[in-house]
Amino acid sequence: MTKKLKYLSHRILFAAGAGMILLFTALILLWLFFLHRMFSIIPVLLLTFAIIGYCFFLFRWIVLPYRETKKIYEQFVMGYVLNDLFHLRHPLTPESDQAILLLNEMIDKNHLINVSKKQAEYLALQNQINPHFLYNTLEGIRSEALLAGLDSIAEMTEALATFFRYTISQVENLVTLEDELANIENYYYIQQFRFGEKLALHIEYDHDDDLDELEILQFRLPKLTLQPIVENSIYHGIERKIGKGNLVIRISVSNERLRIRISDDGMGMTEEKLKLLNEKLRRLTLDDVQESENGKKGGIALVNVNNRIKLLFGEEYGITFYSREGAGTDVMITLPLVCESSSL
Amino acid sequence: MKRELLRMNHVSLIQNGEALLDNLNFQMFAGEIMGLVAGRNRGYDQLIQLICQNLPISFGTVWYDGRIVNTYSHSDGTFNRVYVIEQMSHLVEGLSVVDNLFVLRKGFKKYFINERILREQANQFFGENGLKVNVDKHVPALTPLERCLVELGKALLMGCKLIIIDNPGNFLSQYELIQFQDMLHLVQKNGVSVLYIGNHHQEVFRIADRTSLFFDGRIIKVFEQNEMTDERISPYITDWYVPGSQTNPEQEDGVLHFHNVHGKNLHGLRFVLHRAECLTILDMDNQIAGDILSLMTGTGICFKGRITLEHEPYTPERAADYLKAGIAVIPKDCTKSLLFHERSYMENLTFLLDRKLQQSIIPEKIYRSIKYEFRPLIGDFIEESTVTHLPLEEQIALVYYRILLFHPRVLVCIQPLAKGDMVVRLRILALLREILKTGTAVLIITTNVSDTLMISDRLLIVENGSCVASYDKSEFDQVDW
Repeated sequence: MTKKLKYLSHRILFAAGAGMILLFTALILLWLFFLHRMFSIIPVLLLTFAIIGYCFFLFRWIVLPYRETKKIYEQFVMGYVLNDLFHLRHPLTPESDQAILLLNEMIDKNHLINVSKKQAEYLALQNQINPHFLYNTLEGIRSEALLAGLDSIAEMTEALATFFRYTISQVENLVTLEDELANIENYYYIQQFRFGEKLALHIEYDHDDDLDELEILQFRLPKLTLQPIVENSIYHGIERKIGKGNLVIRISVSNERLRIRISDDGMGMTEEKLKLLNEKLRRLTLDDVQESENGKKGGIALVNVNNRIKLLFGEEYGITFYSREGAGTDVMITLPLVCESSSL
Repeated sequence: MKRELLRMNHVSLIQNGEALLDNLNFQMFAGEIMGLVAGRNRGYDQLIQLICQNLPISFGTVWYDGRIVNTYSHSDGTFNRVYVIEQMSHLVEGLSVVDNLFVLRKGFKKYFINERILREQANQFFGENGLKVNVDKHVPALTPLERCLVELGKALLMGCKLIIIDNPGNFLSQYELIQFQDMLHLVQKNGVSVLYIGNHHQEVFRIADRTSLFFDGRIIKVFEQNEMTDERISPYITDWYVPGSQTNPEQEDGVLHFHNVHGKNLHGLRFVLHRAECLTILDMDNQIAGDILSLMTGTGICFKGRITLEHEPYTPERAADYLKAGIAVIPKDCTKSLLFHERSYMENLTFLLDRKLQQSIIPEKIYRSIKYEFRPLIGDFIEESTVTHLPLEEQIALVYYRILLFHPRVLVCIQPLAKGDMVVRLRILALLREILKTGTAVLIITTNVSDTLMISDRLLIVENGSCVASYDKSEFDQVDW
């Protein structure tokens, strides 16, 4: 019975039945009063209380749940939520509930397709970056060769090879934080040939005594979560800055979440741009990567990483930006604590 | 491992088409002191309210103590176990400390109250928590610090896991503030979280483990422990901060002299205030503001010593008509005491002008001329028929514009920056700067110096009614906060 009454349609039918009974009772009382001049205060009082109770019941059982469901639909239409739609506390009808569950299954299939699609997108993005990347790196190698430092050429080439190996070869989605950070250090090493002293990377850990750094490094996160953000910080924040730029990765762990903050003291961004970006990151978009108006793909990698986190772990996780023009940018990545390897 | 106590995820609150909270993200851990500095107060009250009570929100989710308590789709209006300690007392005035702690507590069902047992329990409780409170006192007899400590104890007894301290610098003296902060550290060690809200980032940085910068309904930056420095926060507040004081105090003889003045709480206070100079007095015990105010307005008498204004004795008779003598006073809550809320903006602005013009009716020509002169500064607000609905910032500005128009010799301000967010405070500082430019000497009496130093030329530290230290502008960096 209770299970059946979770549907608003059933509740409305139930309420209509109860309303009819109340109406008939009222009519009988009126009939008795007008035809037989019978009047008693007790049935009138009882009826009044019943009507008040009925209104209260209508409000609590139908109006409030309807508002809740309506709000979830609205947020879904605006693209802010997805999972809430599949966990409605008060579905409209059994049929609409089944339709939504079916849609969920379909999206799950789409999800699988999306994951592979997104992997392809990652690669596509990498390919797009690669020409510049390779160019700059090869420039570095050339400069080094000119200066006749053969050891450094070997080291640089090795770093480049490791970076590509990590980006392209691994198949699993979740990797350890240790692997991700190793990739970042490797990436930083390569970038140092270009930026030299201008770029500094620091990794900080914020943890209690009951957890050491080695344990933190074993937590898992989606592969290539950090690199696009670090790359973004370097190219949009530090590269344009005059003077030295600092990049700080701060890792903190709470009982439920892993937080990674990537901060740069670069150019930062305008208030409008920040609002727009955070608004974009709040939504979970299932559509494919779209080019921005000016044809640039800046920010796509971030939205992609954010979407991936939200798809894998839920809407409460993801990326948030904090920035101020001229002061720098903080990118906060919130993830669940995942210890075991997963086939997600 | 750190335990998350409060988490607000993408919270938006839209009321009457205005986004009071805008995609706000905020986290607090158990047992941490989180600082909160408000750059602009829009949405600030709603944020505090939302932490305390699960009221409807437009978007987002709120977690408290490990569970979802509020979402955009369902808000049940329940209260979270959060206690707010603010300027307004939450204790019942007519009752004792013990009654406030135990008898008014939810779940207290005894019909016969054994006060001795309750007092013992209260003493034991305060002792266990390291709080030093005289439980025998009645609420009206409590000092501001004791009142805060009793409220802190009450919060702990109620099982609150989060305590919000709202701008304690506004109602506690510097000494009391330091003691109160020590107590907060003790409470923190017991696993209770504290959200410490302050107007001045220096004050907040001193105590907080992390600090969030709140601006226009959003958290715009979270400063970690090693980032809480003036250098790191300055880029975030440069838009609000205007360059330092441009005043150049004339080094001629002073306008106002306090020669070894003794009063109710003054014990040999002496200082000189020069023309166009801003002198800040840091009242360490939060005691002398009332005394100085009463001496300047003729309601108090000087037991010993003397006060001179332009080298003439400033007697109680002269002080009784202080406006005529060229003294203007701005008390702490100036919008309540100095504005006529039902009168028009212009009537409020020109209120003191009759004294200056020595005529009760202001000629229309002068009226028009004032309007013409002040319109570029005030904008359309100058046409308002009442000042009731003006934003707080404009109401405060009106008081200062009135002073600017009156052009007194000396302006005494009591805690001018105690009210309002960072934007309001910076507007006040800019207006004070304008007043200083006209040659008026400004005397600021405060319990918290942080921002006032931006316009001050000298700082006097007063303890127990007499001056214990004096700093010139070049020495401000040596001030021990």
